[in-house]
Amino acid sequence: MNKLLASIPVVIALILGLAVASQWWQPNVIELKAATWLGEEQAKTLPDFELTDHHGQPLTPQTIQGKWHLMFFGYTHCPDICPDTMQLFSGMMKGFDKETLENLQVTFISVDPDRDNLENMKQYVTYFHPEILSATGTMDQINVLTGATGILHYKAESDDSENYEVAHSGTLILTNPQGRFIGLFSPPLDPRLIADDLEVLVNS
Amino acid sequence: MKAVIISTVLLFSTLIQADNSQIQFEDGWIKHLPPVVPMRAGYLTIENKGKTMNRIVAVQSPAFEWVEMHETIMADGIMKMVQQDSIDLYPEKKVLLKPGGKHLMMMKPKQSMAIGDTIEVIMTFADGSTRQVQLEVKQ
Repeated sequence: MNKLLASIPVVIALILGLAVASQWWQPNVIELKAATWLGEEQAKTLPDFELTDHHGQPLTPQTIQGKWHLMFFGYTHCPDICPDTMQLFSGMMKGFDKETLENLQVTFISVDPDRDNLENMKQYVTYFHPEILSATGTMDQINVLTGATGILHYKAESDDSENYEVAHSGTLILTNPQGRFIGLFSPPLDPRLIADDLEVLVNS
Repeated sequence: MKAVIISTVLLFSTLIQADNSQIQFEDGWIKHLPPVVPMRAGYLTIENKGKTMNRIVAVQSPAFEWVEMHETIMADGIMKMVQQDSIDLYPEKKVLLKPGGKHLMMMKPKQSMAIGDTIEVIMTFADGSTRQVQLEVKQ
């Protein structure tokens, strides 16, 4: 009994110690304006997917390590809203300093592999900014990535195999330099706030 | 009798003419895109200054194979485009065709389009009358 009583202060000290330590370990509380932040602990390791970027190089959970990645899911046969998001990227990237640009890769992922290929995607994204990367793959491989990040997309019913719409989420996905899915930006997208958040994160 | 028919036709055509002339088009533009994209989105403001309802039922352009009327709809973060049968023009109201909303979906350009070019578009109203509008290609 005495032993049990004696252990109480130890337990209290431990709890207090942990509380202090947890404060101590979050010294850089980052103020984000637009991002939905999953946090380091909730950050999700992505399942194995293999896409191909417009240089013909693989885009996988391994290749996205070492940099922050901001991913947008869309398709080139989308003349209204997709170019707006691409323009948001180009405007934002023009405002970034060299260091931010080096540590952040903006990537357009086509969810319309029937009509998009490496060549037309490359021409599409580099029209907006030379540093934007594009990638796609088989629908199964795309679904591994979109499934893990909660990105919905589907081809609208159409009798025409050439002219059809693709409904897709406008959410932007952010992965950290460990290649883990750590945050997202949901529409409506505010370029100023997103740029501020990315600058803070990439340089933190 | 003939005179009655003729005057009736004249009266109606004047009315139709009057209706169509109450429609004002402003700020028409087309978003410039790289040539790999086989369609363009067109935007403009349409104002019905008249006191009667009107409707655009078809759009065409000599610079495109065909033109559709679309609306981008965002629901639960999902964006999709829905084709519209017409653009309704309510009396004394403006309709804004703008990015992320209603727009002209212009399919398969027949010519290259540079920033600053003007592209002709023909609007057909419910009564079959038409109007020409110029849209400027912009960034």
